[in-house]
Amino acid sequence: MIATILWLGFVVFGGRSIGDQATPLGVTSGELLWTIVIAANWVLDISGVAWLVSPRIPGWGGPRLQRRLAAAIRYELMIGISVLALIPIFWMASTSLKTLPETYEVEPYLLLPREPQWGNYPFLFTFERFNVLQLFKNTSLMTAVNLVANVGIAAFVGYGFARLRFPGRNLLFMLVLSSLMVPFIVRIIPLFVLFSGNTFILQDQLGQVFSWTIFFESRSWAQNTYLPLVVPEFFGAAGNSALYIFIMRQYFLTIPHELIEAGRVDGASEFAIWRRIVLPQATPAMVAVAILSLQGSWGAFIEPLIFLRKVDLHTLSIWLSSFRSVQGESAIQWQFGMAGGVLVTLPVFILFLLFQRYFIAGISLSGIKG
Amino acid sequence: MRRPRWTIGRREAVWGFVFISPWVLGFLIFSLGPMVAIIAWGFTEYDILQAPKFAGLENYIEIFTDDEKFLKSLANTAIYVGLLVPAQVVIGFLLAVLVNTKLPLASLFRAFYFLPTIMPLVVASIVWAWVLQPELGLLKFLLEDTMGIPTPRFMVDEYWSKPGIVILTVWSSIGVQMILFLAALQAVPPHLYEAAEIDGAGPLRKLLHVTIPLVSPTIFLVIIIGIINSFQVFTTAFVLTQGGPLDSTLFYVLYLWRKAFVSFAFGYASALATILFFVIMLLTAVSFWVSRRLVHYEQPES
Repeated sequence: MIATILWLGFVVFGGRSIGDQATPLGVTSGELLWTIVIAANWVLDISGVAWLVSPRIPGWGGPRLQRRLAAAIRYELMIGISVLALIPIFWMASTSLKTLPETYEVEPYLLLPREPQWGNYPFLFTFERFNVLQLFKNTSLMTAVNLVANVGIAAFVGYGFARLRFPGRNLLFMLVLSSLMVPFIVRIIPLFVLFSGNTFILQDQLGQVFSWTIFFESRSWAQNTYLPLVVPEFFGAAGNSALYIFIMRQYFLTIPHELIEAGRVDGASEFAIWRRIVLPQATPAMVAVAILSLQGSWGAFIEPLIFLRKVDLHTLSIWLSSFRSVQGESAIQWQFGMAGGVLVTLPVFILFLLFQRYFIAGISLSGIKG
Repeated sequence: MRRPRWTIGRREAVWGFVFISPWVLGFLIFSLGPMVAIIAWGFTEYDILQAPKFAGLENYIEIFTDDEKFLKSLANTAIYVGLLVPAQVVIGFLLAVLVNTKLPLASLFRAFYFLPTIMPLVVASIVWAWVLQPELGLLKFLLEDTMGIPTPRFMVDEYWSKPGIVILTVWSSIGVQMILFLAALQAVPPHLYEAAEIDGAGPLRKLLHVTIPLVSPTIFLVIIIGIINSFQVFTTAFVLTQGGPLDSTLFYVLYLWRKAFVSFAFGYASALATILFFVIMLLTAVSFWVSRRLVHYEQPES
């Protein structure tokens, strides 16, 4: 795999000219050499996969040699796959610093801009159609509110399911998990109707007094409000809420029984036990939920798309999708789309680098075990 | 003074209900309520500006007898799920095997493979729209212009648009599957491998008879989550292809979204949503039924 990547690197950067002698096979010696190296490399890679399962072949070489060879193959594959994983990210960053003509150059193909156009980034903030600063504010605010809601509710409800015995608990918890099966569109359509100010069913039956519309600014349909993006999170009923509740519950199950019992003996109310004894112990799980929630809200797409139909209420993801969908193919200015992509991705990348451990813990905790 | 035992139990139960009450409310208002509403609206004609009009089975009759796009979108989605989920399982498992090591820097590589997963899906879609772009894209350049391998025109070709979205989705989701499989692999007790070795099992035998049975609950989990999520694919298709070319990426939810939020046929869309819900439930039930026979659950050692 590495040989392939190296060869591509040589070709792309114009180093194809090693070994130009003709060979009887009709290709140049350089090409023949590369072909052999690449083929050998792939044979090694594929046989290496078998090794990785158990890197021992009895009766051949010393154990040290075998270990080293296995490690070498493993590194080889890990580096090669890293390149595959990172190339699109590199490509995004590289394109974001190009000029418009540079993005359309094919001969020669430009992997890097001739001169980095840092001005592309400030330029994003001068677009007329979207006020990007406002979008950042909108998205951050929604993300922050959802984060508080998700962590608080998951910790609260999760504790109930983990440590308090009440009839029907297991059945209700199954219901929590099975709500993951409800398609998001099934939740969104009624939510849209509910918040659209035209909830005729409710009005007809309950009269104007209880009309939902009194909560919202205007009566025109497709209300522009963040409420449908935020309110369900406060009730543990958003797309991923069940996952967060599950993560918190699993964590609370590991808290020693004695701690909670001690609180009860002291006569503390269950709320006080939760607040003063259990919560301080649960920081890792709460951070995991916080990060998952943050990542989810920051990149949320379909809900903002449906509920926020005014330009100054949009979120960053709507703005980004407009680079592709609003303009025609020929009018796409890829360098700005990619610069926007970098801007939107950077906060979550930084967060990931800071809290990697919790991120991974959150993902593996949410791996529901039968 | 000792209180009778049942009082303590009752007190705990009351508190338990207090703790779960936000979720109960949320479940009734935002999950169960909507489901009932969707099922009810499925039998009506509803354009949201006027009250829904009862229409009996009209929507369903039209969907099943007179709606080519329904069948097309359902088939598209099924093909997509059929391509994506096995790829996620196999690649995720192999990646986990690869990084399941204590060698130095292994955690760095793990982080690398996880980076695409961190990226918001819209950004990933935009980036891949650019990478897969038929004339100027990086992929075409690397494969076709340098290596001479003819590259399919992913975004433009009717037959390659779905694989294009599958590639993007695998790239942007594989971190999750890797982490899940990694956790499962690390939970396999080493003594089982030692025992297998003593019995003379080679690498392949160990993989088939130790590793795979022990991680089978995770395989099952990845498949279930994969089916539920990928059946609802929307963002990638919306950004990358908008359902085209020739409706080849018109996935079910995308079609449903158009019916609801472009044509404002909420009754019709509700009927479609009801069908989607039952399809997903059916697939989940089938997976559970199959898993009962295939998945190995470790008995806790007493």
